[in-house]
Parts: sequence; structure tokens; C-alpha cells
Amino acid sequence: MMQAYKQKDLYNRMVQQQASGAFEMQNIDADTYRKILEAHASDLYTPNFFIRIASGLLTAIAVIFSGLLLGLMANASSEEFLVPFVLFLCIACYVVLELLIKQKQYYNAGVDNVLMCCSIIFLVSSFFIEDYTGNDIAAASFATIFCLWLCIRFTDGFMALLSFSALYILIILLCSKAGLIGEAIAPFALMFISVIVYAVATRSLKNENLLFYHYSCKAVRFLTLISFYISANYFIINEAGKAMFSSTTSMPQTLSMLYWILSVLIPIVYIVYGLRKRDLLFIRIGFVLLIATILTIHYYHQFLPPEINMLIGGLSLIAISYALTKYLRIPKHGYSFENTYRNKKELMNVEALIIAQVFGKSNNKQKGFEFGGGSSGGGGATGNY
Amino acid sequence: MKIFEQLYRQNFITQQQLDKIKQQDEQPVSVHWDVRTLLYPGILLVTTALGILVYENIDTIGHTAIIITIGVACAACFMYCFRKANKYAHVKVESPNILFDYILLTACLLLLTFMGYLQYQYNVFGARWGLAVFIPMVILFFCAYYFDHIGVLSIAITNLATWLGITVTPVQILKQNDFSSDHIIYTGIISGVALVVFSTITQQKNIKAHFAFTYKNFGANILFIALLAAMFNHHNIYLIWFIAILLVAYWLFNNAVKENVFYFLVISILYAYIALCYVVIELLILIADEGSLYLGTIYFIGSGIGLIRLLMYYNKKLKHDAGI
Repeated sequence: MMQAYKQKDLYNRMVQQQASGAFEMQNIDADTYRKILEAHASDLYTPNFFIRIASGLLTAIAVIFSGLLLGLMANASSEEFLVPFVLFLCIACYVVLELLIKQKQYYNAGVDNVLMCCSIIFLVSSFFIEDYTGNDIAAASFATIFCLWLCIRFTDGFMALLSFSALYILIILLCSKAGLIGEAIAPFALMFISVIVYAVATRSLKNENLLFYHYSCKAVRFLTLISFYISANYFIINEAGKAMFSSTTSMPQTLSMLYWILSVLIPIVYIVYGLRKRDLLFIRIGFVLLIATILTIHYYHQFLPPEINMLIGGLSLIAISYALTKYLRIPKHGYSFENTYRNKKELMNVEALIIAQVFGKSNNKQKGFEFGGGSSGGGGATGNY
Repeated sequence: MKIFEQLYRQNFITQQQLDKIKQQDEQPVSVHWDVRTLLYPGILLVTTALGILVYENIDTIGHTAIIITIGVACAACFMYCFRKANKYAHVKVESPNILFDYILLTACLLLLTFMGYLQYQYNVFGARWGLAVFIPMVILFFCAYYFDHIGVLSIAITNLATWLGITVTPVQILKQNDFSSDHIIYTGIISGVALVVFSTITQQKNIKAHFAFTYKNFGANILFIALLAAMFNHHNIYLIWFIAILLVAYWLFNNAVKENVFYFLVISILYAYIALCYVVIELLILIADEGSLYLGTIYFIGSGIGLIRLLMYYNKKLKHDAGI
């Protein structure tokens, strides 16, 4: 298969997560939850949040100094040597990543995330060492493909986001090379690609065969909703047009009207759609984008001094939230103010207890195994055992 | 959904449970956190706007009117809090409603503005600047305990540090403090130790035990940064400070392992690592030839990988009933 992990591990992990959710919502009892966990052990290794951050930092240090050491040894200073050297580092990061995952089943452990990112950074920077025409386009296209591959191989949502971002940048670059026509069609091309990717992601979400990529699809969908707005926002088009295309001609009246209408309409459509479908993602994005639209309007037309605007905005926010708390005290129209996560902490304790019970044994086994076979690395870990 | 249907077919869940899970999608969607998130920028915008308005119109409004307004608003907020508050208890007390937390926070922020204004405009405390910080600090600590509010406790601790002469807000801890001055270093060390010790007492006596993390978090970070500053500054005896850092880190590390707290485990390792890197670089500078450059890079690679292994090992060890 395409994935670096075993299908069974990925599936069992999803079952665990889903069961946790169901247990949290008190749809299944503790005993059922325990049985499900017992039957669905996953070898994927995701450490605690803080450990992940620290491991990521330390990985970055190790990668940087490894590159430095190799550079010192190889005496890499001349330009023609630098490109293959950086590409070598890119490949080295990727190979280490594959080996680590094969051996230790790291899954979002900090180490694997940073190695992926380093690999991409080395790949992209290899295009910018020498200056030649089209290097930015080449970098963006390779980044799009490589990130997509990383997403597929490691079922990583962040890579999916990066891949889409690289694609978005690629289209901007292509348009900027196409002169006046490019400038004119850029917003539409970008909106178009956002819609296409959104449609693909939404379809994939319905495809049960792509179960392991549902998280990635959701992440990309989130980004396309924002990128669609950004592509049509008057401020962005106006300012980016000035910066990217160094154009002095101002926008035609009809076009600027269109962008204004889209800037106002898109957030409202998102909110209305979200309210009807009871999809909080749309409502939240719509709300944030609405604020962006208000700021855009404020940038070009100052009807009132900023502090008065702030006062009105703040007071309306307080009024809205206060009204909502009062209005939704009894659930209405499928919305409620009740905090469904109130008992999360107590539940977490029970959950932790169950997990400790279920995985206590297998974990000891694992430790013993590592102790026996850990001599391969010989690092500090075994010494502390 | 498919997963639960599969689980049902495998007899892990009953028909009843499957139905319940399916119905979950039709349950009302909770907008609890969305509304709370709206409230916060709302309050921030209004207070900022009012501040700007006052600042621009100071000539026409007059200081007395402003001070009285702030004082009245502050008193009103506190009145509300005292009325609504649940009875004090040593254990965690839930706040009576959502607005309560925000109103209390507003009251405490207004109190600080009020005191600062009094001192700035009327010099009420004269040359005893400390008093202008000390009095609100006492009130803030009282409020944190009486109303059981961790946010207010954080403000109170920040104020305590201000009273001692150091800035401890996360963003400014490195920018604002002149860590080359011995006074600040020693104040930092002493207050850091005091906060950490107090956090342990809080836990042992079980008086608002959930405050312990906040105390320890502030205390440990201040202590480590002060100790590192001491090591960088007192160059001639840096090894002594290095040992001090290792001892503190060792204690905190053991404590973290015992209490299953990942956060302190990680920061104690990272601070100790920074100190170790400093010492290694110092030693390499002593050698100062081409070999030391290689040794340095090899050290960073090896130590990085070694520490990752150490972290992963302790992650496995602590995984059961993990807290923060």
C-alpha cells in the first residue's frame, strides 16, 4: 500500500479515537469502551504534546548540525556543489524519516513532523541557490507534488495543507508571468482552483476507502474556504496587484464592483449555509471573514473614527454573545449553549484509567522488548532503564 | 459512522448504543465556546476604545471625573462578584455563571488601572512606589483565592514580581529585564524558589491545590531564567551556577516523574540542556582549533538524538494516567 504505516494500525487508531469520542459523549459505557480498546491495539506511537514539541526542537537541532558537519567534511562552499549537497540533505531527511517510521512507528511524534518539514525546506531551497528564470515556478511545482506524496505516504494533514498552499502559490506565479491577461484572470483562476479542490476534498470525505485521509481532507477543505475568500477579497486583489504585477493601471469599474460584492457576499453565504446545515466550521470561518470584510471596508472608507468603530464592534460582540447565552438557554433550532464538554476532565480520568489497564500489559512487553533490542541505538534511553 | 457499524457487526456495541451514536448527529450543536470566544474580544475592544476615547478627551473630561468613573465601575463589578459568588472552600469552587469570570477579570484590571492612575496623577503613595503595587497585589491574591480564579492569580503573581522589581509576563520576561544586574538575578532566584516551594505547600495543605501548577509554572521559569542569567554573567564561576541549574532541574525532573506531569519534565530537561550547551561551547572555545568545530557539531547531533531518546523513554514510562 501507499502508506508507510500498517493499515491495521491506522484503522485501530481511528477506532480508538472514535470510541473515545463516543465514550466522552456517554454513548457507550466504560466496559464497552474497554473492550473496544482491548481488541483494537495500535502500534502507532504518538507521545505527549510537550514531548512532541521538545522532540521536534531537538530534531531540528540535530538536522541543522548534521548538515553543518557534512558540509564541513565535504567542504561545500562552491555554488555548483551546493545544489546537489542540499538535495542530498533533502533525500537524507526523507530516508531517515522512512527508517524511523519503519522501526518505531512514529506518528505525529514531533520527530517525523520536523523531518518532513526539513526535507521540504531542503528541496525548495535547492531551487533558490542559483538564480535562473522559472526557478520559483519549478520550486512551487515540486513542492506541491512532494508535499502531496508526503501526505499520502504518512497520512499527514499538515502536508495536505502545505501541498494546497504550494499549488495556490504556483498559480499566482504562473499568472504573474502571463502579463496583463494573467493579472486579469488571476483572482478567477485562484477561486476556480479553490472550488475544485474543495469539491475533490468533499467527495473524498464521502469515500470510505479514503478513511485515513478524512482528517487531511477536512484540513484542506478548511483552507479552501479561506483561500476562496482571499482570492476574491478587494483589498488583497488591489494590494497584491500593486505588489506582484507592478501595475499602474487601476482596476476597471465593473471588476472592482464585482470584487466588492464578493467580499461582502462570501462570508454571509458561509454563515447562512453553516446555520442551515448546522456546520460550525462554516459559521466560524464566515464570522472571521466577515470581520476581514469589515476591516477591508474600513481601510478604504472611513465613515467613523476607528475608536468609535471599535466601541461599536465590541459592544455588538458583547450584545450578541449575551443575547445568545440567554436565547439558547433552552436548545433551539438545533443549537444549544450547554457545555457538552463540561465533564471532560472527569471523563478523562476514567479514560486514562481504562487506557492504563488495557495497555499496561502490552506496554510492559514493549518496554522489555526495547530493552532487549535497544542495543542497536545504544543511546541514553537504555542506560536509564 | 462506518466504524461503529463495523463495531456493531463485530458485537462490540449493542444496537441500542449504535442508535444512540447515530442520533448524536441530530443532537443540538453546542456553541458554548464560540460564544465565550466572542465575548473576550468584545470586552477587549470596548475597554481599548474607552481608553483611547479618554486619552483623546482628557482636557475636557478632567482627571477627577475619570478616576471617579473608573472607581465606580470597579466597585460595581466587585459588588456583583461578591453577591453572586459561591461560598469559599479550600477545594475548587465552580463559578456561578459564564459572565461572572469576565466581570471579575474586568474588576481586577480596573483596580490596577485605578491604583496606577491615583499614583500617577495625584501621587497618593508619594515616593513609596512599592505601596502602589503592593496594595492591589494583596487584593488580587485575596480575589484569586476567594473567587477561585486562576486568571486573577496569574495577574497577582505578575504583580508580586513587579513589586519585587522584575517583569515576568511571558513576552517581556527577556526583553524588559536587565539580567546583567545582580539585583534582578538574585531577586529572580529567590522569588522563583519561593514560588516553587509555595506550590508544594499549596498541594500538601490542599488549599486550592489546583493553583499549584500556576505557582510552579511561574516559579520554575523565573528560577531557571535567573540561574541561566547568573551563569552567563558570572563568567568566572559559571561552573558553580551550572551545578545549581543541574540540581534544580534534577529535583524538578524527579518531581515531574513522580507526579506524572509532562510539562515540567520537558522544561527541566530543556533548561538543563541549554546550560549544558553553554558549558560545552565554553570548553570548546578553550581548545579552539579546527577539531573543536567538529567536536561541537558532533556534540549537538549526539546530544539532540540522545535527548529525544530520553524523552521518548520517559513518555512511555509516564504514559499511564497522564496529566499535562
